Amino acid sequence: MIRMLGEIIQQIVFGIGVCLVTIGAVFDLLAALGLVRFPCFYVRMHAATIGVIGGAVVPLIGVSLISLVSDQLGPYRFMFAGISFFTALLIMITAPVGTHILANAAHKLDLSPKEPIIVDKMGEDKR
Amino acid sequence: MRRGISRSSLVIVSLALALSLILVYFAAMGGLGGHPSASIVGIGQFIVNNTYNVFNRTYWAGSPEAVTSIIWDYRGFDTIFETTVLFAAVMAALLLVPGGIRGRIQGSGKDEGLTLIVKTASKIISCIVVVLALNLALRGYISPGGGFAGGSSYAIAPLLLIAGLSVFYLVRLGYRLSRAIGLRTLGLVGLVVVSSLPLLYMGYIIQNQAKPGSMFPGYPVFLGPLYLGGSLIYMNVFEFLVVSMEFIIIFIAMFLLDRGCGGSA
Repeated sequence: MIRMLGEIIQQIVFGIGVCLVTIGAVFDLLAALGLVRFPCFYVRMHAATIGVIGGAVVPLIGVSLISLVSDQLGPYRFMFAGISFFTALLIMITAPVGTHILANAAHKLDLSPKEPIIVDKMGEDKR
Repeated sequence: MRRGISRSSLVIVSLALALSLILVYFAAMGGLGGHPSASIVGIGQFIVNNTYNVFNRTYWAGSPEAVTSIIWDYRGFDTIFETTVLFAAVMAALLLVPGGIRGRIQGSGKDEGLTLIVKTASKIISCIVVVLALNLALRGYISPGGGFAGGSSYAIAPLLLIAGLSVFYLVRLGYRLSRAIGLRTLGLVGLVVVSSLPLLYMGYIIQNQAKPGSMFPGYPVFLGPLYLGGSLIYMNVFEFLVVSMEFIIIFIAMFLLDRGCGGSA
């Protein structure tokens, strides 16, 4: 009974992991489309961030879940899971900072036209 | 708004293409060197057979990590001279610094640095980098890594702090030019002591384990339940100290050269 419950939990975790990896692939596709189609620098940067967070962090967490329940890996499965999760955490901390500072610099130096614009708090602050 | 491809980008792309084509051509023509000759293959076999050969300890290095064994045991002289080259380069850079060894960073730097988000993230990441670098250096005799890799990884932490916050934050943390030079000298002295200690026992210089023709019994490999790995761990730790401190010296020296504010202690 307990063994069956364990197997069911394993299957569920595996399914969640595969779902996360698939979601990551979809996000990557959307990000690539957005990078090509979006009109200005800031919106395109939004698409790039989708590619990093949705296309790298989410599938890495999925990979860590999958390797956690892959018995054929032996004791190495914990290593794989830990490394994947830690990499996801690291990317989640660093990637938004990179895009933030890029956008900040571009706004400060007026490198890109702010074409389709609704609100510009930083520009109001500058004035 | 959008113009055609500019001329400079065209030049860059064609240069890169030509360069990669030339590289591929030379690699295909054997520019990377042919297959290693049979006499060289023998060295690799020797190292693989002897590095951690617990059954025949005549030529063993006492460490399962073959690369570290080569770097600090079989070809230890090479690494010592590499360290010397880096030492000389850093000394030459220090000669240019206004104020010399006692050069100090002056000013408060209240408003320096980037936004709050960048500051917080660079603090977190630099802590992680320090832990990873220590891991690389201290476990270099078991898993891939070593003193040089660990030291150059450690150097990323102060670099991040300089980029994200400012060099003044680094000074407030306790990074000083004189302290870095002192720690580097400590590491160099440690390297010299560890590599020349076997000479007292009528052994070879940079000797790790007992070898035929030498009285030196070798550095301890096992200490009870602990695994020490001969002289490799001491070498890695001292090399870590030397390399990381040399990178910090270079960063601070670059800042001092930029600002030109030397002065007395």
